[in-house]
Amino acid sequence: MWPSAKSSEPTGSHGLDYEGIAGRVVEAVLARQESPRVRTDVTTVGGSEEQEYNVFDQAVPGYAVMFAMFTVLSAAGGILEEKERGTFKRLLVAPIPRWSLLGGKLLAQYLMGVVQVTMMFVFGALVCRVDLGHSLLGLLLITLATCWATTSLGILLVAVIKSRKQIHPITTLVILGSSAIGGSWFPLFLMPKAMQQVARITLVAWAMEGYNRLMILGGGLADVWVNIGVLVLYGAICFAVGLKLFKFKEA
Amino acid sequence: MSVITVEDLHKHYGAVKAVDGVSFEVQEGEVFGFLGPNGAGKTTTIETIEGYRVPDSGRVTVLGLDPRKDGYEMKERIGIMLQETALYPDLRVSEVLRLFASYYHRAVDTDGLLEMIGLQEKRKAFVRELSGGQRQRVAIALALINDPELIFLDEPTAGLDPQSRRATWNWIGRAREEGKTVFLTTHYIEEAEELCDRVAIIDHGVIIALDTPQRLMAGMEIESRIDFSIEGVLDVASLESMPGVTKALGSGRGAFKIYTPDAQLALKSLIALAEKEGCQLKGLTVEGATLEDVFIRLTGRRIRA
Repeated sequence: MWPSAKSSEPTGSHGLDYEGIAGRVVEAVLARQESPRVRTDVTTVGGSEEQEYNVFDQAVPGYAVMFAMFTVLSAAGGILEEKERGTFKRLLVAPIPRWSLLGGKLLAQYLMGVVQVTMMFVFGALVCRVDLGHSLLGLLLITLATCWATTSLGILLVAVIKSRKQIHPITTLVILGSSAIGGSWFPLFLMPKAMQQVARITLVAWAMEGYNRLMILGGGLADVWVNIGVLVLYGAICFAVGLKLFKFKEA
Repeated sequence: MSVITVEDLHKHYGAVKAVDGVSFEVQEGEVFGFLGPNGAGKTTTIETIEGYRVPDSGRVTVLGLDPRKDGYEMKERIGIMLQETALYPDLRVSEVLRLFASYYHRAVDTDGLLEMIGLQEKRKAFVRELSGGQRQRVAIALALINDPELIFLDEPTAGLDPQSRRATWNWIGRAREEGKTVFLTTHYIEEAEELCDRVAIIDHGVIIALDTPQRLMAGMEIESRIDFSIEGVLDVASLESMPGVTKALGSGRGAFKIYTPDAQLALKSLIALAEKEGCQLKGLTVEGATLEDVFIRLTGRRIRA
């Protein structure tokens, strides 16, 4: 062990005992390995004894929701780009109702989000052997609800954000922040109870809880209808507030 | 019947009073122009009338409607060309027209519109491939796409080559012949003189004169300038002593300028003098008063200063 450290000449010029220091570090590391401070417990939930826990059952919906969150960025970016390019002003002086103007933008982003998430699941099922659970209908509904909530959140953000320069820092913070605490990266049920409650302010938590229930816990539509309802409401509130705050006119 | 009524419009941005108490009416079927230098308040006024900007105070009525309350109905009946019309670069010309036609209940045939703006061959071209003048023509087409009763044009020929400018003037004339009302802003004197039935001269957010171009120029009693050269000998003093002439200048190489409030009288005298002295008049031109002179007289500076 540490052959290079041992063979190297002790640099006596500063009077330091390098060999001695290296030896103590190695001892400390070994001592830690003998009594690890972190214990790893693996709990398998809902699966039969023979079935192995597939890590992708968490990762695929996790990344799918995170990608759906990125449609927030596209929704916000698309509108701000039009504002900066001036095409939005041309739309504003045409007889287009406000809800239709924002709704049209939103619909395109929404459909793209749904396609993206669906592709993630198709890939997950075919390549990663993800267990999609027993309720494809539940999976579809929670996906539709999640994408609606993320796109509406995009409209809300664009109503608050002034320029395209601000989009990236703000949306990245929102996306990564809510993905981290909302359970995109690791299952919510592994988190402390308090964190699980805090996470509920994010739409990611509601979406991930739904996916986890369907895919890992083997639940059905009845187990996720609350999640679907909350996500639909979440989107409706974001859209309504965004519509209210959005500046259609110049001051 | 007045199509646009503006009463005591005020709008400020920070400390700058962009529009400072503007009132006027635009009558049905006329071409009404806002003439003034950049930053005079033209765009703020036109965009407030269009319902895009919210005024600090004042009343605006367009086609009997309040642009802020009945914006939707108003927009169906007006056509707008913004100062800078940004178009979707990745759409084809025909697609842009079809897209905007879809926003109106009443839309004209887009093929006919393409023919009118002379872009039939470009119908399949992407907007990003068009020249500045061609894009401007697409913007004109968009302003006409709903067969509007009232058309707003904000600096319709700014930055255009003379040929495109002439073409734009032609279709504005055609719109007027069809009975449409046109409200335009411009900082080109010639444009206001050529197109407008009535002109409001605006400076620092205030209308400083409003009348037909002819009456504005006549009312100022601005002198005309007669330029000519002669073969023979004439002295400046005898030119200056002619009836109707206030000032005469000679270049010393046979070229002269004379200034007169009454060009007809001065020309008669000049021709009589030339015949008497046995001189041949060459290159005779009369330069009348222009709106530029009116502007200088009113503000003490040139419009594009």
